Amino acid sequence: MGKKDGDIGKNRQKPRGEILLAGTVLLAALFCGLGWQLLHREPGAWAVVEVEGRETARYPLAEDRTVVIEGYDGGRNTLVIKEGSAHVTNASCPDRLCEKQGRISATGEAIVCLPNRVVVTVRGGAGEALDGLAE
Amino acid sequence: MTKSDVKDQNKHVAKKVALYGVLIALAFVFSYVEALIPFSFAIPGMKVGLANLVVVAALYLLGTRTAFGVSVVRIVLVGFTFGNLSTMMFSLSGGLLSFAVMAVCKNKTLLHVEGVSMAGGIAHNIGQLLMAAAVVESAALFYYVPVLLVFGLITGGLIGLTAGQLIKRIRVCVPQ
Repeated sequence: MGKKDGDIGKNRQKPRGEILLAGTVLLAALFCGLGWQLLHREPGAWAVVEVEGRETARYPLAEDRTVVIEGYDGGRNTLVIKEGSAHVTNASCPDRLCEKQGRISATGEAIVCLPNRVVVTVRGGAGEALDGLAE
Repeated sequence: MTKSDVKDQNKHVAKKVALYGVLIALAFVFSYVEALIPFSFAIPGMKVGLANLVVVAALYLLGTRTAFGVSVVRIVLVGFTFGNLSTMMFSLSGGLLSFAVMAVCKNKTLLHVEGVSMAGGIAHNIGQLLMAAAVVESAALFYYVPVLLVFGLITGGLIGLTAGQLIKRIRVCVPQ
């Protein structure tokens, strides 16, 4: 079997590498998170539904409605748009993680249902609103 | 080769097979226990990764090859038993990336077992995220990167701390 080296003995030393790693990762996460907030944090106009990477529908967030999304392999998710935000209820998949992802209303926010390969993203901005009207 | 040499070798192989079996069974049970915890996170694939405890311990006590075997066999078995092909794909993408990162970190950096496990936890989450993004063909998932980084760091760190204690205590009973 593999040779044993003094790895465990190193435990006694100061965890410099660990601190450096944790610090770098925390900074990177903070940076990504803040950057995201600065770039995207504005109320969105549309809830865009994609199944397997293809846009299947988009609904204005301004109008309350409830629709059933037909996902991959017969999976279903119910999308509820209410008071300017979107959330998912009644997923057909076993883990129902999408229901726990809560409400989304700002541009770039997304709800993902992996088993059904459904992604609901909030988009906004005048240009995208025009795209929607053109359809 | 004399008769007793062959006997010794057979004994060695049998020992190895038994050890692999025990480790895989242990990792398998950890996966099951984790599946029983009625506590899940909103983001797909976010888990504590208890089974990784066995992989980390094996990596330090028995070497890269054994640990790799345990990791892959565990994922395939758990996939067939509790999941399906697609959950297995997610586990494999996370598990393989995590294993590669841990093996490199252990041998090429100054990180201790805690740090190696942290790096592994982060790599696991990133691997699953990449796979998920490929499956749904959407970049929207990358919105979760910061949460997954921090979460991987914490769970990896916890597993690393536990593995460190475990390794210290069971080192003496591991066959050389």
